[in-house]
Amino acid sequence: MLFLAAAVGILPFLARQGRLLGDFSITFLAILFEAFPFMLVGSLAGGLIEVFMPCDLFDRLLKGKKYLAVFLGAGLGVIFPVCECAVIPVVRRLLGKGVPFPAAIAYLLGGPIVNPVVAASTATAYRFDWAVVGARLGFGYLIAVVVAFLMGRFFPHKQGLKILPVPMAVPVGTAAKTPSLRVRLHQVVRHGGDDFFEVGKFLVIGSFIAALLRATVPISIFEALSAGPFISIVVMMIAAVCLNLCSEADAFIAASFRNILPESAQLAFMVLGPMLDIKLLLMYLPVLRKKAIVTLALLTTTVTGLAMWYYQIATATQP
Amino acid sequence: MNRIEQILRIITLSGWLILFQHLLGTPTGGEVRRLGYFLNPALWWLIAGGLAMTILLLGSELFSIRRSDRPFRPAALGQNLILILPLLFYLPAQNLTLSSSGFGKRLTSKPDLTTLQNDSSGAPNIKHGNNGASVLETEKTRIMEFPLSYLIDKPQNYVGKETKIKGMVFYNDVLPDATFLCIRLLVTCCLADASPKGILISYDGSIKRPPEFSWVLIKGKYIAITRGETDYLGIEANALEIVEEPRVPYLYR
Repeated sequence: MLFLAAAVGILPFLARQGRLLGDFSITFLAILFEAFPFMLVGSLAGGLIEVFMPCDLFDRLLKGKKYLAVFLGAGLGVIFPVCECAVIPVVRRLLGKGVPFPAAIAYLLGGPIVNPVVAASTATAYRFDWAVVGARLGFGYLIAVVVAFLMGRFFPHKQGLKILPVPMAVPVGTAAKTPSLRVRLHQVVRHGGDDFFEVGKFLVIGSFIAALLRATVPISIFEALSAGPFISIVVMMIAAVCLNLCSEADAFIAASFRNILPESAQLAFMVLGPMLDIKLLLMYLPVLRKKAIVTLALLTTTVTGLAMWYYQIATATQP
Repeated sequence: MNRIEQILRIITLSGWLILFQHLLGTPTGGEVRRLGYFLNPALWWLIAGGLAMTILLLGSELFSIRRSDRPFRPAALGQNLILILPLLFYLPAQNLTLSSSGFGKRLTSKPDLTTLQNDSSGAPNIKHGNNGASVLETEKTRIMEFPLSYLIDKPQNYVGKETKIKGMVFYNDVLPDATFLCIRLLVTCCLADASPKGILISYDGSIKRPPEFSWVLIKGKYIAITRGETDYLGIEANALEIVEEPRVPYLYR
């Protein structure tokens, strides 16, 4: 309700700024139109996991393999390529099914970067400079693994999670009668709908804030603030959080800074963006506790910043 | 779930269903332009998928009336109003394009110019116009009106060719004298990622300097413009005309 009041209240201000309201509106809608179908896919995929995946499957598969689960989770996007909007409903249901918390965080962060679609778009944007592609995916994977382990350490026993939906699928080997396929498919859609309404509102709020920033803040500000390579990294990380771009498209924006900023700053933009932006921070709310979200944000930005600084020193890239 | 909450869900989903359908338009009509105001039209399948999934969710809500004694949660009203909010924005914004100041906010101090490289593969599509001059064929898609997106990929093939190009005028301190940038926004996925792509236009005294952010139609010849150690593809203008903004001013990757 607070958001609705703010959204309606801001309209007269925007309307007074000439075409700003129009620029804001089309950017807001553009972000949503691109993200909504992906979120619907994620919601239905979450429904499929909920209904068809036995609730003790992950307990059996991953028992005593906590570390392996994290390494697998961060690279799972190679097999199940998802963007950052689709991954949240999926992770929500996976957590409800007993996937270890660090492994779910690893997939949440790594899935939208370490996948073939992102590799292809990065290669296209950087004219098939495979070093950039490798660095993006490699750093994405490493940062996802490191942050996942740290989150597991800070929030043991799933302390960082909100109360998740109670799993309803029947465990393997139980005597309970399994509903018919038709009923189960209907349940998939019902669960998908529940997730859509639960997560969708945060997508709208996040897109609204992102569009506001995109329509009012000139991109040249980030350029002007970038006095040196290390500051450039920080500034581009802030840009990644503010611009809220899809992981399949952000490489094209990063590439437009090729002659202006060092490669490490461009990489910081491409690595952090799919893991953390305003829209995502809000979309994490139905899954994680606020304290966990703040910790996740701090850890992700710190680890990404350190990794990119290391990359800057190691490659001594100059703008 | 409460019955009222379910009705709210049905209203919200119906709104999104109508919106997705409106964005898609009819497959044979010109309505694909509507999608082009927000997304790369090549992503029509994304909206079609969204439409199909919305139908599924709506069907599920319509054909399974939930009976529950649970009281109505006021939070559900807020949740649905938030999801309906974008529909309200769509009504006035459906035919809007990014303003000139919106274009300007996407520009960096060193715009992404088309450089010339030593790669001769991929010959451009050339056709001969009625006047016998060699002109570049415009893109097949209705929305892509001029060959800037071809230029970005294979610029070296264009030097010496006559051309006609439409774009927005942009001046910059770092540009050489008697030149300006002709820019268009290149959309990869959605308008949020649109970034300006430009080509240098060189003009002589016979052409009046056009105002910044005006839309122009330029006739001229592709040339190499050298700045520092880099050759950029540019156009030597021999005619320039101020024109209306195109209905869809973007290019799509």
